[in-house]
Amino acid sequence: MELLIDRVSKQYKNRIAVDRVSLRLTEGVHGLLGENGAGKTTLMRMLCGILTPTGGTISFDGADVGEEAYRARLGYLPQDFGYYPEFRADDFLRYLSALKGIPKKQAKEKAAELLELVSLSDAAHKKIKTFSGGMKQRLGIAQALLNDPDLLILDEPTAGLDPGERVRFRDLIEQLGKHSIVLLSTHIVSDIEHIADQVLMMKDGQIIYQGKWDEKRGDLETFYLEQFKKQQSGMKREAQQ
Amino acid sequence: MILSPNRKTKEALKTVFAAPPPLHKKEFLQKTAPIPAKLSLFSFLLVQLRYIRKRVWILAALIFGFLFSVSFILSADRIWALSAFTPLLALLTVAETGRSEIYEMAELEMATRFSLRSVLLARLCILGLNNLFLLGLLFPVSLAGSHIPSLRAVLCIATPFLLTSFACLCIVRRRRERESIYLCVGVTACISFFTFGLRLSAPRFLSETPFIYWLFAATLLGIGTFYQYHNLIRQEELTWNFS
Amino acid sequence: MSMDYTRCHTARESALIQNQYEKIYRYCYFKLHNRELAEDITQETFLRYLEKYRFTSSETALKYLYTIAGHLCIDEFRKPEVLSLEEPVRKNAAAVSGQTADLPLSETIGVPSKEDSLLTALALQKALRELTAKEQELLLLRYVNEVPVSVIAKLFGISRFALRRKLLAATAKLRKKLE
Repeated sequence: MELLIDRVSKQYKNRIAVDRVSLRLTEGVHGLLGENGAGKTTLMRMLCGILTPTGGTISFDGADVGEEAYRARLGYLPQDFGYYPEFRADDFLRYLSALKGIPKKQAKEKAAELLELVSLSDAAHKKIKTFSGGMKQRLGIAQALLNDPDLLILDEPTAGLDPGERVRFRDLIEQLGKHSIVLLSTHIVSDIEHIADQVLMMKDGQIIYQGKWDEKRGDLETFYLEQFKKQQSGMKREAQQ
Repeated sequence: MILSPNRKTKEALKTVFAAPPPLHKKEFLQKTAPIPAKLSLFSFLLVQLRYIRKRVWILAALIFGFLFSVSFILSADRIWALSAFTPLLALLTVAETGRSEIYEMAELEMATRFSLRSVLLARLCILGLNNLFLLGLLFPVSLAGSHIPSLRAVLCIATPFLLTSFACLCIVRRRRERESIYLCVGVTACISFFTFGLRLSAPRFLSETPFIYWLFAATLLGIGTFYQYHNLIRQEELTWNFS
Repeated sequence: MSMDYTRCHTARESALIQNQYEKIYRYCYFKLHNRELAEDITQETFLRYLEKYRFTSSETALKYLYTIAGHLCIDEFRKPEVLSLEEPVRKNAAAVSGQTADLPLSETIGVPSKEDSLLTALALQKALRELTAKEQELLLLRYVNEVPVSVIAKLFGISRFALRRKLLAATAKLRKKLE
């Protein structure tokens, strides 16, 4: 499995949100660190076919991002998502299953299985309106897994989760990373510190660091800050020349 | 001690173990390819049909009932009545089609296999057909006993309808919030009341305004509405550029 | 050989076939030394896999594929010779049963780009012939098909530790023969 991101850029009228990003991702958990506004969400939306890049190409095992074959293997959890107000949890999952082309019977089974996975079985028949932030987020994770995706894009998936939920979530992601490509973005280092096979750092639309991470390298947080400083001083030097 | 063969050796190993190329790979891949679960258009429409909220059908029926009874009561002013109140149907259509935007489900729907576009198109088709059907029923009833020629009558009804569609679409596309639905209701109410008010203050407006004005207005609004729906379905990045 | 085609359920399965077809084929060819048969068995392997196994782990998938292919090859060896085949069936019997080999690995080596790599390949082929079939298989799986160590270990029914030892031994033996 291989996700190929080749010199992808997204340019708006007066700013560049993503600047010539090139990545080659294979199975495992890839953490994308960066501040708000670094371009993480824009990049992820491009990876999901929601935004069209102004330059570059994206392909997964040979299928271009615009093809149905690509989206068929994709699972996405956006940063903020809504829901039709009358929907209950199982309605929500069944509706999205229909859109993902999953036949009804299979959808029903899969929805039940996933609700159990995210510990929402008890709330299956409750309206999403009544859910807490953490419950809604867990439901979002469940919908991303409906079609057994090989490519999982999660945008700030731990927002709103309490520490216990965070731990369960980390375990789940670790499992998923064994047989699919998981790209998750966050600005909280501890989320990915222990589970990411690779860490990507993004600033001002560019990837400023890409590499494996393990405990031997020390504290990720410190490293993260250092990288940012490095980039800034590098830019200062450039400006001075 | 060298632990694994060097690159040269590995290359040589690949050469030595190479088998003559297989002959039937492509064929096999094709024969075992997953059945493209391309739901036929019909099945997909059926699925979307199920997901159009029940209240939409109820409301449409109510509006229809209202219009029907009104046209019986006001024998002379049926066309007026239709003019004034079909905007409600337009509102309903836009609201339901634009549900994804309003409730922010759009992003999720877009990343799926069938994608948001098919959903919107399906909804629009279903509701559009429904509207045509209802109006088709009402129309002959209203025409009977009216002194307004049919072509003009069609335009008289179409214009406020299209105006409402256009206005509501503009609102829904620019502002992805739940409040936009209230704004749409407000706009629709204004158009309806304005049309109705026109009946009271200038009763001959419908029959006496030059045909060409109606034609012009209807055509312009028709194009505008079509354009807006088209962009809504194509999911122009307008809505996404604000992030 | 039944050729009713089962369909893939998911795109992932399609991708698996796409990526592994030639490798499994190469493996079967190593064992059977017959192009037609090797391809038949490759396809049969995938069909059987599709019918029974829908695991999500790619490692488990590989394990099953090689296991099925291996069994099918053994079955094939047990069959009487079929005379109507184009190529004479020269089964790599030793490779199938795991005994010491005395066999041509391939009649024609694929064409390498440089002359010295051709020489290396020829020397290698000669050296390889002196390894046991199991050792050859190990080298094929690890360095040509690039099968993960954990999968090979499960296939051979030994621990990863033992596998590494065997690999080292095989590689060392090969190196020695090359000198």
